Amino acid sequence: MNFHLLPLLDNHLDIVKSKIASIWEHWLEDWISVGICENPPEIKMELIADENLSSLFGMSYINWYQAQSDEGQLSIGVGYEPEFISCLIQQMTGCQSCEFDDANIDVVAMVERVVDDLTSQISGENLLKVTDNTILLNCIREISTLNNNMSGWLVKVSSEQKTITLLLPNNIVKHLIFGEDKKGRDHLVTRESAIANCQVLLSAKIEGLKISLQDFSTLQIGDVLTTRQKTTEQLRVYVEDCSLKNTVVLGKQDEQKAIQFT
Amino acid sequence: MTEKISNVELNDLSTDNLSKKSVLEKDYSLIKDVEVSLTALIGEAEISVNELFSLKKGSVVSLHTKLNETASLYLKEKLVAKGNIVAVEDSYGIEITEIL
Repeated sequence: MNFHLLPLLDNHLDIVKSKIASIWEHWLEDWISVGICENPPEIKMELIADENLSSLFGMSYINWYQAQSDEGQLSIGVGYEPEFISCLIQQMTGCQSCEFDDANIDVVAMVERVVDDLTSQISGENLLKVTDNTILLNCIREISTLNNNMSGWLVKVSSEQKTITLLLPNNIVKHLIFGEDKKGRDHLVTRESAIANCQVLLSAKIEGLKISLQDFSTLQIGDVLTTRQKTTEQLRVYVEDCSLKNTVVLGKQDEQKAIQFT
Repeated sequence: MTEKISNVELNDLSTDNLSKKSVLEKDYSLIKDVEVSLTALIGEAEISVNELFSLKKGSVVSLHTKLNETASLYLKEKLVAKGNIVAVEDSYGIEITEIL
């Protein structure tokens, strides 16, 4: 197992890195022992020193490490090879494509130890304002499930306000809010994902059924009201009370009425 | 043209001298020709915002309405009747099946 560490930019990072390395070795042993990884892959730690972010934080540099996998990007202060992050993400997100036994490996505890070390060693830099490691771990878990090409930068955790604010590259600010998953467990979601999962009512309507009050007052079963809307014309579609500019045609699908966007 | 233009001064309106007698007799024939607009709700579907923004041209959304289910007829937001969607020549029509 080789560690390829980039030159340090500050002395105290030596301590952090050695701790990470030690934890990482222990972690690897666990992973190998249960067969997640047959051969220890080469571990590469890449230092991200983003000057733009540094200036945003008002600090001399940012010593976050970033890793990327097929699942997306993950920035947790340390960086690992994609294969490992992939495994990590699979474990964190419960992806079934990787066979492992949760009972044998406590990845969360491992990450927690890394985070503990990081926060204790670099707390003077205020890189992490973590009030609760559990929250941070949830946050990491959440970041790992964010969209591809989204690198998460944890900037503030507020357990009181139940929010986590992420500052992403390009000055994009993401807010995570606390919630519960379907099993009632604590869960973090981005505002966007919370909104994305909201259910809205889509409805199709035939409009323009004009009728005089006299005819309306004498309306009977069997009467046919004719609209000005041609059967060849498209219908208006609504989301809740908002009319979409899109139109639909009426049809059927599986014995249900259906609409097709045009 | 050199017309003089000035602002319209609006006076305060008071209801101090409100009459007890209605201005209009309660005669619906006066407004019998007034047209109201009804809307027929064909059906609805509940989808997530994510699904909404994933809709593309050609996307089909199945409504929670069976083929033989009637459409709901609304006057403003008040459900007033139900009926079948029919074609009256080349226009949509609603054949009333139930008045509420």
